[in-house]
Formats: sequence, structure tokens, C-alpha cells
Amino acid sequence: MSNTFIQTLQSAGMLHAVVATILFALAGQTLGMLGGAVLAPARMSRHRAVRLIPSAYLWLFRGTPELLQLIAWYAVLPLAGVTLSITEIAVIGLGANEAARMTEIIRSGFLSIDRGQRDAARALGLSRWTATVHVLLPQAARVVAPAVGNEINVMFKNTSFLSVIGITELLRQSQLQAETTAQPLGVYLAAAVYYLVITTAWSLVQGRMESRQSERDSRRSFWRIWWRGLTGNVTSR
Amino acid sequence: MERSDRERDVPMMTTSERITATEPVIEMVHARKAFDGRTVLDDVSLHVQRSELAVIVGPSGSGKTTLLRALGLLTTLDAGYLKMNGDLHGYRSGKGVPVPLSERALVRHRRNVGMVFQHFNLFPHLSALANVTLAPRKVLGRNREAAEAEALVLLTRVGLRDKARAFPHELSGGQQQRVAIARALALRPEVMLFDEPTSALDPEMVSEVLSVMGELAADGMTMVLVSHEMGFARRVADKAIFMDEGRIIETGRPDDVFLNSKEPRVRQFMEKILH
Repeated sequence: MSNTFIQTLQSAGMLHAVVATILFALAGQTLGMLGGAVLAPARMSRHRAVRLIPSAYLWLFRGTPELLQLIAWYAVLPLAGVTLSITEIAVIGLGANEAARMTEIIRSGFLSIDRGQRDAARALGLSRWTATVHVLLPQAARVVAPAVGNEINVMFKNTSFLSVIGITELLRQSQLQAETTAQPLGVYLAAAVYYLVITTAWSLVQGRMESRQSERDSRRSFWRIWWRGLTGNVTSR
Repeated sequence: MERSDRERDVPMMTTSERITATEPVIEMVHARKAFDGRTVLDDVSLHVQRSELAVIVGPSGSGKTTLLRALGLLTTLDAGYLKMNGDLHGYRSGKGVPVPLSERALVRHRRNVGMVFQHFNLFPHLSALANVTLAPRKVLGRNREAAEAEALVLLTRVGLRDKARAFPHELSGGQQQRVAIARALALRPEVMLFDEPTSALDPEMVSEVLSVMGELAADGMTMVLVSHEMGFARRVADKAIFMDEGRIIETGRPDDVFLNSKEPRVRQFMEKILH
């Protein structure tokens, strides 16, 4: 068993699968954040009709299991005449589900901003767009950063759903190797270790970003905090 | 003090100059506003002359803040309208009665009015300097160097040139409010509106903010102030307006309103806050 465990950890197939898992998670998260960035403002619109679109979207994507959504994308898109590669379907599937969650997160970030900020921006003659980009968004981004970090953690694990539509990510690769070696325990243990490595590494990055943020939050821009967290470029104070 | 000097100057001007000098900068005409069926402004009319400082006093809930927000075009009136320098301000002539402009058009009109809030409302993610330069850069399209040079002049004026790079959370309440004043001045407004600018401050910080406001008044800025700082109002204000239940009960010279009012409601209020 321990032999299989070590061999699986070192196998090229598993290392490939680790990279695939990370890339799918990041791609899905990016698409989800973009989707949320579009749907959240629509959800806060003054016009009922505009609010209806994100509401319907959330109702559908939060009301059904993600696994079922992935299978549906896989099965339905070709029927509708849309021919996409399985990689594209995978990213869309993850991103579409994540967009629903990100919509609520981004919305809560905007709602947390003091009303006085909007008043001050309006009184200065800033247009709605300028106020959103230069006053509200930077503050909302700071508020939602921890929640987004958690979403990314969840996303790393949710890539395992992709195994059912034939993407060779960590779980699918483990299934294949478990069959060929007939040593499932060692193989799945190795997969678990890799998931833990990914999520632990991410939580270290996240913890670092959050502690930097709480130290002296308002003085640095959100993106600079993220950049420093990712690159580990910590300046002494 | 400086005010009365200026008043004495007026008769020395030529007739045409005097007319400009006494033309109302901002006017509110028959304003009405209700929130959820509760009347907050009930047929309010007022005008403020150039370089005049009008102080609005009255019990809480009397409509002072709504009045100020309406002057700053943050709240649109249900009926009535505003004029600035004789032209409709934030309103356009509709069928017979002026109607509020769309949000998009209001944006331009708001630049002419500077607003200072009770809770400062500085942008926490921006330095003092960036708070002041944001509107000139994004609204007037000034380049960074020009905007910063002007902002430093304004920060010097409020005594905070050395705090230009500080962030709001690194400043005291009084300093934050002075940055907020500089920020509001950056668009060179015709009128400055102050909504209880010292009531969220620790007592020892009130005077630094009041002295900046006093200097502004002495420089000839047209100002409308909601405040309970009676001492300051008596020294610096030209006009006092007493509001209660959405109506203007009395308008007059500060001492007349504060000390010698004939209105029982005003006397009753003043006795409470002066003693």
C-alpha cells in the first residue's frame, strides 16, 4: 500500500492532474467573478425588470446541484447545436455556478458600504459610474476579499465534479490509477494529500493577505494587497 | 467682525455692483417634501445672498437636514424648486411648474454646491490628498499634477498640508472634517453647505473646525450651516433661520432670533439649549 501511495504521488499522471485541477479552479473562479460582477449590479438596479434577470439566474443555479448542472451542460449544449470542447464546457459549468454565488457576495459587499460614502461622492458631482469605480468598488472589494478566498478554496474541491464529464483532474486520474493498480487505498490517499497541499497552500496565501489587510487595511489598494499576498513580496515597515 | 466690515463696504459700490452683491446666490421656492406620507418640508422658501452665512437651527426632526440635502441636490423636492444666481438649479421648467432634472443632468449642477457632512464621509481608501483631488480629476478632468498643486493649497488653508499623505483613519475627527472641507472646496463651489459639521466631534476639536469655517466666511464664501453652535452662529452668521416641523418659523438676525424672539416655539427651544 505505502508503495502505491509513494508511486502515485510521483506519477506523471497525478502531477498533470494537479495542474489541471488548479487551472480549472482558477479559470472557473475567474469566470464566476466576471459573471458576478455583471449580475450583482443588475440585482441592485432600480428597475424591476433588470433585477428579474439575476433573480431568475440565482433561483436556477442555487436551486440545483452543481453536479447536475455540469452533466446538463455536457448533455444539453451539443443538442442545442453548440459544439464546444469538453474543457470549455467544464469552465463554463464551474463558472456559471460560481457566478450565482459571487453575485450574492459582491452584492453584500456593496450593501455594507456606509450610505454617507455615496452621498459624498454624489455631492462632489461624481457620476454614478465614477462613484462606483473610484469610491464604492475599492471599498466593496476589501470587504468581500475573505469571502472570495473561501470561494476559491471551495472551487479547488469542486473541480472533482468534472470527473463525471471526463475531465482528467485529480479525482478522475485517481480513479483511473486505482483501477490499473488495483490498490485504491494508496491512490486515493495520494489524491487526498494533493488536495490538502493545494488548499493548505491557498489558505496560507489567504491568511497572509488578510493579516496584511487588517494590519493597515485602508492604506493599500485591494489589488496591491492581493499582489503582495500572491508574490510574497512583503515589505518591512 | 470681518463680516460687518464687508457690509459697510457695500454702500461705496456703484449701483450695478450693489445689485450683484445683493442678488441671492441660492434660492429655495415653496419646497415640499414628504417621506412615506410624513411631511418633512412644508412650503419652505428661503434665499441666501452672496457672501452671506445663514445658520439653520431647530429641534431634531424639524427638516433641517432634508432642507440642506435638497439644497445640495441629494434629495429632489416633491414640489417647489431651487434657483442659483437667478437660474433654475437642479430643476427645469416643465409644464407650468419646474420639475427635477434627471440624475445624469443633476451631476453637473451638484458641482456648484459643496457639502460637508456630520460624519465627514471621507473616502477611507484614499489619502487626504487623493480625497481632495478625486473630484477635480474625475469630474473636471484636471491632470494629476495640477489637481495636487491646488489640493495642497486647500490643505494648507485648512492647516493640514503636512497630513496630505495621511489616510482618514490616521487623522483625528477634527482633522478629517477639515480635509472634508478642503475636498468640498476643490470644485470651487458657489455655496458651501454644512450639516452639523461639529456635532460628531470631541469637544476639544470643535474649535479647529469652526475657525476654518470662520475664515471661509471671512473670505466671502456663501454658506448655509445647520448647527447648534450658538456662539459661533452669533459671531459669524448674518442670518438665522428657525425651523420646526418642516416649516420656517422665523428668519432674522442671529441675536434677534436667538435672544429676542417673539415666537413662543423659538423662545422655548432657545431657553433649552442656551441654559
